Amino acid sequence: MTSEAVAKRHLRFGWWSLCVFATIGLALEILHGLKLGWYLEAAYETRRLMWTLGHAHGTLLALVHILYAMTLSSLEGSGRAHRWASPALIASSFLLPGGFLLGGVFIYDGDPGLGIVLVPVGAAAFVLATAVIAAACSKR
Amino acid sequence: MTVEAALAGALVIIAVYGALYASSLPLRVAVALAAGCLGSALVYALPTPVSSPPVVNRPIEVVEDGYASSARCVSCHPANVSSWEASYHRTMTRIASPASVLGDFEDVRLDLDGADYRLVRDGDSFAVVLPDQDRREIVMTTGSHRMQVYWFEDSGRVTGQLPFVWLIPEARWIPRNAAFLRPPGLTHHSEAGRWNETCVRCHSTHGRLGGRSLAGAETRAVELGIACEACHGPSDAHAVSMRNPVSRYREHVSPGAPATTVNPEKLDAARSSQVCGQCHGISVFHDQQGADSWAMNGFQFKPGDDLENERFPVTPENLSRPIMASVLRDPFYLEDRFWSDGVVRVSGREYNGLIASPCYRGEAFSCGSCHEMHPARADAEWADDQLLPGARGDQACLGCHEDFAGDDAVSAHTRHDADSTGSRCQNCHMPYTTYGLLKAIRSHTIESPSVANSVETGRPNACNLCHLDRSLAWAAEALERRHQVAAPRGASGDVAASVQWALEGDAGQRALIAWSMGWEPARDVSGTDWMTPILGQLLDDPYDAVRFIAFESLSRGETGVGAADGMDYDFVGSRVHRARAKREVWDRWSASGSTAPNGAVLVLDDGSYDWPRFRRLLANRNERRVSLQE
Repeated sequence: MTSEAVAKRHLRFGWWSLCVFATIGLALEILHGLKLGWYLEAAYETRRLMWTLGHAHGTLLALVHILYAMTLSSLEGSGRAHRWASPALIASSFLLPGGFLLGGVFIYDGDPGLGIVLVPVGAAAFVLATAVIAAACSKR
Repeated sequence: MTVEAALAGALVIIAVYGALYASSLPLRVAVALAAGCLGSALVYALPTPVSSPPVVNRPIEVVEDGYASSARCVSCHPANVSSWEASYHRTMTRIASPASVLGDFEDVRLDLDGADYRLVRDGDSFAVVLPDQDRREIVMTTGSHRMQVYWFEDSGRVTGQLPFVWLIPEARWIPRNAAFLRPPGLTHHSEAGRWNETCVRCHSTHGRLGGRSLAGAETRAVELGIACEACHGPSDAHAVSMRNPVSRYREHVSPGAPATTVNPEKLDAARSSQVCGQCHGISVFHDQQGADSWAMNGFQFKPGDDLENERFPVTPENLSRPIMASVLRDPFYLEDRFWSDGVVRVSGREYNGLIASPCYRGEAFSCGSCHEMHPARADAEWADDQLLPGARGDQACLGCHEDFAGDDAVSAHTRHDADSTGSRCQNCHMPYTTYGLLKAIRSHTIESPSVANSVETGRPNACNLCHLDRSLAWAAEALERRHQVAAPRGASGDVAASVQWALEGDAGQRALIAWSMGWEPARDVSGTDWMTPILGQLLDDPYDAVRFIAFESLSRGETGVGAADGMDYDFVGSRVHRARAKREVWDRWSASGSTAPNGAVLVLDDGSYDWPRFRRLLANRNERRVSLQE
């Protein structure tokens, strides 16, 4: 896959992702607006935290995709890097916010649901992606 | 502080940046060294936090003996901690601070039998200037619901008790003895050591005197206030094991796993009730060794244990135990706490009532059948009595007594209309015959209405607590006719039982009747105008608490044709003031002339009041000393 194609993929993924997580943010604002007990009461603090984190991570990762797409043009000749970074970045965009969001669906008082196990996997994928991209940027 | 910290941080960043990106190696080293030195100097110059001096003038909190403290519960149990924080358990004892002190300390002067007390506030600290001009810091508070009690530094960790309490709803100071049903003429100025020896047992978590005697006692508790581990037991091991997410999730997904802390809801009814009964009961150590052990190490009982291994409840059956001989050296021990048949009559001791109830013997009924500590919504109404949803009504009983569900069934059982207050389970089986916190409280000894008990013990029965305008004989006849309960001898027939108890009764009975005259169901059933002369008389009762309750009832709604409207009455006012208030109420009531005739409540057929009978009853007032140890 050419750099151009990768850039286009991440640009598309980034903007759609931003759209999805902005919508989720809007939904969370509505939950606040309606003062819904199953989101705002003290008993559901963990759910609120998980969904807020899911929204925040998803939104920021969407911006990272766009940034990555814009960065690609200055990283000519880093095909190997893209082979690792691109799928890792996309995986982290599903796993990190997805883990938080799923973890908030079923909660155990102060602990999130089992969906939270996706988060460290997604975090590792993101760290891998950033490391590969940073290394590619450092090549002279 | 924040600015300095930001500057130091900025210099560190410059040092790192310079070391990496300056144009030559010497310059990199120079920039890094300069910025590093400046940053270090700045950090060195930052003021170091000043550690607080050790507390020496009050009991302290020490987390020990396998306890963890509520601070460590919150990260995993935010909802439960939140409902606990909304409860009055949490605020039972607190360190005095602007957040905890509710009373007015803005240079207030209070008089106690001629002794002058001055309450002052200096910034965030509060103090009392005692009559001898000795100034003592207020160090702790107790209570945050009906009233608040204050403790001042006395000697070491021993505290003295301010002889005034702050009534929270009324926002006023009253002498401490006026807040309880205590004989007139008692004056306590300090009661040094009361918290250390008595209150610490239940108004803190794992508290102990901290010495064999008060002198030099190192009184301490895991937490001041009644916190998580008072009911869940020491939980340090639980908190440590639950740091491991694998352990935590194993417990989440397999609820049957061995628990590392106690959940009273999962205990059997008896053990679960004992968790509450450790404090909400009247009990005695088996021997002096037990008492000594508490003083040094705190209670040995932990939630989940059998409470009776350490203490036994004071019941009629237990009075013959050897240790009771020393307890009963106090000739008033029993009558200050129980009716003469052993039914507990003071609030805060509901466990004794529970275990004497037939429901409890079914081995499924416990405190948790009606009460819950962690509701989904911990609001003010819940905090009042900590009841389960529906437990304020018939649902509390219908869970087991399902035969009485439905209008026809309940009406057939109660012989009252299904929707009347006479058909509410608790009104008949848990009447307001317990006293505490300046009001009547439902008895927790679940029993059926009995005029015989009233005749024998003086404890008002449920029928006459609602039908205040009816006599004992009327209630006995109704119970015999409707429920086949044999009428006892000695049930008087011509005067309403409430009138008898209010005029002839002892202070405990007078307090309960004064309260019942303000109780809405009784007022609806019995009418209210006729109550005015009675309540007017109780405004001049020898007992402070009776006077307080009488004025509350008199001021409620339309009692006594507005006889107390706009009246400037102070229940701890002088005798002259009280007598004048009584006379004023009587005069206003006489002037209204609207009371329906009823000989049982002393209103004669011609509408006049039977004052001679009133005075005869009053002359027989039971003047025995009443000092209820709520």
